[in-house]
Amino acid sequence: MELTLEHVSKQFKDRQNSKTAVDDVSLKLGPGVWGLLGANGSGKTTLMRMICGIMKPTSGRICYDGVEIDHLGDAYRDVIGYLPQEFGFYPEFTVQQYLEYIAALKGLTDRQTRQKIDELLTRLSLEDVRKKRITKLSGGMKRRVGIGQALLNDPEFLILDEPTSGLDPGERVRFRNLLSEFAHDRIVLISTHIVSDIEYIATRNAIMKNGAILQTGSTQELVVQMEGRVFEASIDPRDLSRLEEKVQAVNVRNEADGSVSLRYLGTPDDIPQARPQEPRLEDLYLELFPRK
Amino acid sequence: MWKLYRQELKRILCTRSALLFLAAALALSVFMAWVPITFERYAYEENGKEIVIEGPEALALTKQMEAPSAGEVTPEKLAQGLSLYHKNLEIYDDFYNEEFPLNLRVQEIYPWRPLLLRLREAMADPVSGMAPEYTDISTDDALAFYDRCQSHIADLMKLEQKDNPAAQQTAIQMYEKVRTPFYYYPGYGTNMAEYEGIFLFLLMFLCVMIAAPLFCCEYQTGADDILRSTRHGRKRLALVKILAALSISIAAFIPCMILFQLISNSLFGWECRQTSMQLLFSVVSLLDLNVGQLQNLIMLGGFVTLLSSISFVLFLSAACKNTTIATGLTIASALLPSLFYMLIGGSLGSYLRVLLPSGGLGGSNALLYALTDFEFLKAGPLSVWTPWLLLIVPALEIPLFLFLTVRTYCRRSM
Repeated sequence: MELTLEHVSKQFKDRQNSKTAVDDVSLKLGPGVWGLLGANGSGKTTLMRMICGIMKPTSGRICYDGVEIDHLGDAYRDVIGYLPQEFGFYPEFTVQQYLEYIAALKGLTDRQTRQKIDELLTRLSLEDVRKKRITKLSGGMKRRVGIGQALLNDPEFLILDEPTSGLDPGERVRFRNLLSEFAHDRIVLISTHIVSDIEYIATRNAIMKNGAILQTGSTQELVVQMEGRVFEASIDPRDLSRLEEKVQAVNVRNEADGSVSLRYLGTPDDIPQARPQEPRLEDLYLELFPRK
Repeated sequence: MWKLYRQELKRILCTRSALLFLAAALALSVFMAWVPITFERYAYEENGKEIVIEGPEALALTKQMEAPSAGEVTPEKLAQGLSLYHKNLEIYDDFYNEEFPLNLRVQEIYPWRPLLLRLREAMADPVSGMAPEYTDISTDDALAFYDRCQSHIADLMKLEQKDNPAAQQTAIQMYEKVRTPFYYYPGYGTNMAEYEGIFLFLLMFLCVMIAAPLFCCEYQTGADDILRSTRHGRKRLALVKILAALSISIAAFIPCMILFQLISNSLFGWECRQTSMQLLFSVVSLLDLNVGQLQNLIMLGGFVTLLSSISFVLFLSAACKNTTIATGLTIASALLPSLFYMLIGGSLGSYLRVLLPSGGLGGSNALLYALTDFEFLKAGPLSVWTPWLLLIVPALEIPLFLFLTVRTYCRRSM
């Protein structure tokens, strides 16, 4: 079970401009959770849509187990589940009706449909709203319905584009646990700009910027390069603005004694008495996507 | 496939707008069948005062009044009616003379009017095309009515299609096939036939409004990405959507038309279906049809045009980014044939009308008027009577637009 991207590029052309949304991306995705991390507009969604076969690359190849996904056709779509960033549902449909509709599109039999819907509604804590119209659900519940439709065909390869947007912290944790459980012997690709979504569950990460993959590796492998670059210092609140111009602030916390704890990227000489800190994925993210 | 088809039907029929349009279609079939009877009017004189009756009661009295004309239209009947006209015109000089008693008109003039109007038309001047006064028509002319009809079509075609001898010849050959004698049964008028055309246009409009958002609303809401990443989310889904749209339209068309025909024919009388088309429109109408057959032909034309319009709108829906644009174009496509025909006119207007999928439905461009007209369009060396084109072109466009719909949908965002 392996998805390979070989020199995949996508260009959009209009009358005046040509924009490269994905630029020569090569990746190999094996079983486990993959985090695709990048700022908004970095090309994650375009890459996801090409991986799903919704959009064709301008150049390059996408293969699943060595065969181009275009050639696999229905067989490839049988093994994938996709949750787009913004997904439309049918306002008049109840949760059950919507899942039945997608199950029909995925070619499930009546029996499989019943079984799978019952199972997913329980797993996603949606049993109570089974007969409720989707429009009446909260943002988090709608998202869970979206995840449910992606899981209907028990996919080998699950592709989730910004799956936690609109979820509250509790739902995010539940969602992470669900994915970790599900990811066993499967490929799960999650695109996000929220570092905490993938920091603890991703087996491997790929960081994307301006359409290109900048780095890949496990969280530990990626953050190791930040060692000796992350510090924390206790400062006078009046100095904060000046220091923020000098260093890349990661976190600012007001302390009870009136001082401010500033976590930053830089050198120990930037702020006197700065203490080195254990780097996290978020630090690397800010290094690569600095706040302006 | 059938499971997906059932699901798609369910999805469409769950939408409020679709249900609203279907309910409107059903309500319209009753309303449009009933409206023409409200135009019926019957006037008579009682104690020197004019009494006017309207609606179904007026229709019943009109049928009673026109009873002498009912049945086979024989030359003898025409001569008898014409003699009464001559007798009264000798006394009063003009039917519009104020001294002409209303009740006398009701007894001796109006009963024969449907037949004698056609006699007058058949006696039209070959050069000017003007119909003569009744006083200029003799009872011998009336007795030669059917011969006069044959010569009139030749004269008329010389005027209508001056530079098109092939069309003249075709029309004459077509008219030779019209069986005589004609039949007339009072009640059913041109209003009813016109309302059938208007009703078909409205029905088509409601059905295309249901079909307009089928593809593009998926693009607009983002649902499309999920659908395309599923096993059957491409060609099969496109086919299922097409099948569902056509099924709903057919399912709306059949009961609505049955209801319309049942109501209108029950109100005006089923025997009126036997009236020759020539007695209702032009005496030289080219088709050998009675009113019932004409109703059926208009219905068939409406059905073909409906399917072709739905196919075209599905193609628009697959090509448009959002529902607003698709709905706008749908409305425009439904109205364009009428607008082209009215504003551009001439051969160009006719060609454009014929080529558009909804060409045979609308106002003055409707199939009914084409069936009663003598317009021929040149298609290469051929001269084709417009109604045939209004039936054939949409039938050919159905597979074309359905193919384009599937192709456009499958290729989208690639």
